[in-house]
Amino acid sequence: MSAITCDRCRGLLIGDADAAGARADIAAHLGGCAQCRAFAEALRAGDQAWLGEDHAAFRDGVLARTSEAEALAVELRDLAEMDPGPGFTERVLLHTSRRPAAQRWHAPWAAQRWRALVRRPRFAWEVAYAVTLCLVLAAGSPLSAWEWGSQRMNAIAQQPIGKAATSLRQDLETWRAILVADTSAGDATAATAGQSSTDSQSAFEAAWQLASRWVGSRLAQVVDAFIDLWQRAAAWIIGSEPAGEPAAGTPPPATEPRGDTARSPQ
Amino acid sequence: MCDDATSPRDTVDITELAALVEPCRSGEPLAWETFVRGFQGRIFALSYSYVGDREEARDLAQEIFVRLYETRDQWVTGDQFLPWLFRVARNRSVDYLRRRKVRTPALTVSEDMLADLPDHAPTPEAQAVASDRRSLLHAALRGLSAINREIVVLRDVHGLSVQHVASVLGIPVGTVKSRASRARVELTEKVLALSRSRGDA
Repeated sequence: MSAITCDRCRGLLIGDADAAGARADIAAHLGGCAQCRAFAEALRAGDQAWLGEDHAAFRDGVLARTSEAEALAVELRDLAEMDPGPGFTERVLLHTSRRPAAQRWHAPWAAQRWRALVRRPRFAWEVAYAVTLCLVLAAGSPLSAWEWGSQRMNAIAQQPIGKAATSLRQDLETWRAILVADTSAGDATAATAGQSSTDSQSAFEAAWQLASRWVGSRLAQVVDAFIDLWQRAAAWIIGSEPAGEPAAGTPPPATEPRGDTARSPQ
Repeated sequence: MCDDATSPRDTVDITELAALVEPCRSGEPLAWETFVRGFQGRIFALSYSYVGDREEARDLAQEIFVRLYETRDQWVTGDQFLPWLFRVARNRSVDYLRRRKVRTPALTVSEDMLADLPDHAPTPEAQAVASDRRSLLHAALRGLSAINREIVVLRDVHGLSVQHVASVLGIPVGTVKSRASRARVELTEKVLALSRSRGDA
């Protein structure tokens, strides 16, 4: 048994073989350990190969790196500042201190408070909560709309497509009739308003009537276009020709589209 | 190469400029102008180390100054000012690089158009040697990885302390130390390789 371990022996072989007492320990260990003997041989062979070579290139490389590193340390400092070129300062000042001040509609403290508020980390979440709360308070729960929509979709999905088409068309026709009636009423009111505006009604009311008439007529046009589109789509789905442009205010067709029977399982 | 041929016209003491912080915060135009003139060389050099193009670096440096002006009421004072300034500049540069990534490629410019552009570069004779060496250093720096380049630029170019570099980059001090020494060795290797290749050419 040697006095030192393999690890200690190899450490001594590489680094501190000349330490006091080390040679004796190494010799004792190598005498009983074949692996460390092989390690010591390999080390010796490497040393001889190193001594036999010309190390001028290595030395030059080390010196070059050392001198380059020293030069770099100085040269890198020179890169700390670069001239951005003529006109740079003027450009910056024109975009900052010499920029014309914008007209302020608010007090400076308000802007400061607003900036502080916006920069808070949870600002976006808080706004989202507030907006959602307002929407729910104003328009009811969004889930109720979803519930209504899903019920409606279920009803449509469960009945034959012809019935769904007829039902939707009836709805659209009804809406259109209401809109046209409103528009006519608006016309009549506007005419009356025009006649007696000097007497009892203000110019504001007359303008309001005109605007509502205009909006009503535009909505009627939109509904007309939608009815036409729906007819074409229904005809394409069912496989029949479109029924053509319905006259304004005409009642919905009494019979179901032919395609309904074609798509029906019976 | 004219992109990095110029050197600062005059070097301003950073500690003196730190005294401008308070007047700048209170919005004195003259203090702000002095601040811009004093720091534009450093901010431009830092921008250039990120984008590697003189014109883009000018735009980026201007953006940084505009940002500094808009947030002047939040400037920090004392010893922390310089690291804070570099952090702002660094964040702005990183944002700029992100934007540049998603930007569409620029239009091709014809030679006629290029000939009409004004040339701000100094004469080649006056700047030839310095330009060569500086462009070589910049090329070697661009060869480093992003984090190593930032460490070398902040530590060895701008002379920030290890603690300040760590606070600017948001990494541990130990990482800065180990990476800084490795980055210097890597930079030296790259400079030597570039010198050899340019010498051969």
